[in-house]
Amino acid sequence: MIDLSVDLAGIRMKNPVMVASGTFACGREYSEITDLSKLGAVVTKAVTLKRREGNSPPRICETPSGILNSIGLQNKGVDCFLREDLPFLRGFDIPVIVNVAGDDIEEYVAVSRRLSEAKVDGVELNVSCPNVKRGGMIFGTDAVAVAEVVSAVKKAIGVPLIVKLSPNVTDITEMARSAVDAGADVLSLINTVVGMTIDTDGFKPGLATVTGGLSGPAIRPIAVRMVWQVAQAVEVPIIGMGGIVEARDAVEFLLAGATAIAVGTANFMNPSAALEIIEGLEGFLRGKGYRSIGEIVGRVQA
Amino acid sequence: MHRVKARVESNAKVVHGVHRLRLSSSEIALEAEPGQFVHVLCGENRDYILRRPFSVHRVQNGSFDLLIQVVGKGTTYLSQLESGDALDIMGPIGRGFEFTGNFEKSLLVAGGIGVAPLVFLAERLREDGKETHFLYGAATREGLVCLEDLSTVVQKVFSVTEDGSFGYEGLLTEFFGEAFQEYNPDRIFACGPEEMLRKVAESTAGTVPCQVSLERKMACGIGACLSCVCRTREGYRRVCVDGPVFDASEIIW
Ligand SMILES: Cc1cc2nc3c(=O)[nH]c(=O)nc-3n(C[C@H](O)[C@H](O)[C@H](O)COP(=O)(O)OP(=O)(O)OC[C@H]3O[C@@H](n4cnc5c(N)ncnc54)[C@H](O)[C@@H]3O)c2cc1C
Ligand SMILES: Cc1cc2nc3c(=O)[nH]c(=O)nc-3n(C[C@H](O)[C@H](O)[C@H](O)COP(=O)(O)O)c2cc1C
Ligand code: FES
Repeated sequence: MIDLSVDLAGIRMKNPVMVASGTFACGREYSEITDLSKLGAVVTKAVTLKRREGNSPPRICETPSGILNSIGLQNKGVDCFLREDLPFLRGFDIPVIVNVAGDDIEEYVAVSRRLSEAKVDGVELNVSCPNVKRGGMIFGTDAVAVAEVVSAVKKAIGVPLIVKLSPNVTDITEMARSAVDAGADVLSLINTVVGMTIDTDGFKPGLATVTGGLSGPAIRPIAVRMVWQVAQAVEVPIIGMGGIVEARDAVEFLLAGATAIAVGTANFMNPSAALEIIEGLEGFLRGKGYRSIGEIVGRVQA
Repeated sequence: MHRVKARVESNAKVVHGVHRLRLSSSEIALEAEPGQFVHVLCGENRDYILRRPFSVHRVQNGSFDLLIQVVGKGTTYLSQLESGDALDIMGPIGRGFEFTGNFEKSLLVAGGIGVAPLVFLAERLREDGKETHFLYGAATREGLVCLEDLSTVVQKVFSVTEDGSFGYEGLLTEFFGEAFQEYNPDRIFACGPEEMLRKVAESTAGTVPCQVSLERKMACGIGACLSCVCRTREGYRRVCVDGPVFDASEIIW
């Protein structure tokens, strides 16, 4: 038996593979064609205090080996999430991690507190969304602002706190240290990379918001590099993501120092991508003669 | 909705740049309704990664057809498939045309490749014993790829080509009023370029119920990612699962 289980600051997962925020909604749609109960954990789409409309369309463009999106924070608000989506997700007996966004510290705190009271398994602070004007990435690209929002939320909740970092910074380790010093139990990285495309016939940007967030295999080397740098800078566990499509991609992140990984854009091509990666990881470990996933974490010979 | 490995039964070039793919899947053939689509993985590639949506064009016993216009990488891949190849397909997806209501005579309006789902709808309407007329526009005679198929399914086809090589010359929307008066329908079903749909919707507003099938770029195709939204009176709605067919009066163009 290969032991795939991991413990992320108290979030116990039977394997290290989760689905990334915003690519899986709250699982309902995917549950028709894939078995959610086999996942390590589900991370939901960002939840805010009140219902949000999100950005104007077009919201998506395909780019070389990736996609550029500007969904914004369209969601029904935390009350509706607690009433309709959480009970559904609880039915699969896997940890439910809720991605939280806000315009200001008060909103992050209010939403996180509600979720903590409802005993979700973890709160993931999205201080890195490139697709909102206020809040979002503003918090994630300023080390002082990161510390403020993280420590305010940490005081308000009783469940593990994950902070999701933006790659759109000069020094990711500075943000990572700041978040950990302020109380982050786990770091997740990376969120999308700010990008832009232009339609050369119409001379218009591909997205209504002009710029958007790049995801998919195109960003994987950036993500692996950042996970590796952060793993050396801090002690807390890391959830690695960015362009993971198959098991070998996940192994790269584990070798760079991630304890767990998340699959995002790949779900769109292959709704069973996460499940295939779980099987693939087991096969990889067996093939190399390892007995547990922890044995390869951070083992890159750099 | 299912995810299946469908076998290509045949791939026929209808005219230059348009292919008819026949795919075997009893699940999809059985469940598909007119206006629904399938989400197709166009090869195991890494350069472009999203699935591509295509309307169900017709169904047979155990198989269904797609009518594909070649416009880019994914459709080029599909046009080169051979019988026996396998395709990763999700479907049937979405809210199709609502055609069970109380009406007698419908006008189906198709612009270019927008004809694909309307042939399926016309077949169902004939089975239901409804009187059905068709307003069909394309750039050239060649572009009216379903003219022969339609002749046996609907009462009358009103054809328009931009270059005048067949039927009336001009844009389909210039003849909508004329076709409407001639057939006097009590239902409109339309699929084609968004500008065409908008004009059809505006000309029918407040008269007869009109349903339009919208197109958006899609990522997940199943309602999870919120990338395909359109603006409606109830806020943004997902074209993939709240549509692709909407009541025209709901849409804010
Ligand atoms: C619900 C739905 C049903 C459809 N049914 C059919 C059908 O029955 N037959 C058919 O031929 N086509 C249909 N389409 C359009 C089809 O999905 C696109 O033509 C296809 O995705 C283009 O892929 P590509 O890789 O060949 O083009 P790309 O290389 O991606 O792009 C080529 C061009 O096509 C445009 N394009 C790309 N994706 C879309 C899209 N989803 N909608 C509109 N334009 C797009 C691009 O902007 C670009 O100009 C449908 C679209 C939707 C949303
Ligand atoms: C359509 C879409 C929506 C996303 N929404 C969110 C979100 O609401 N909150 C968040 O923290 N990250 C969001 N992300 C970022 C992903 O969770 C992930 O960090 C990023 O896409 C990189 O992983 P990937 O390349 O595997 O997709 C979104 C990404 C995509 C593609
Ligand atoms: S394509 Fe993802 S919600 Fe419609």
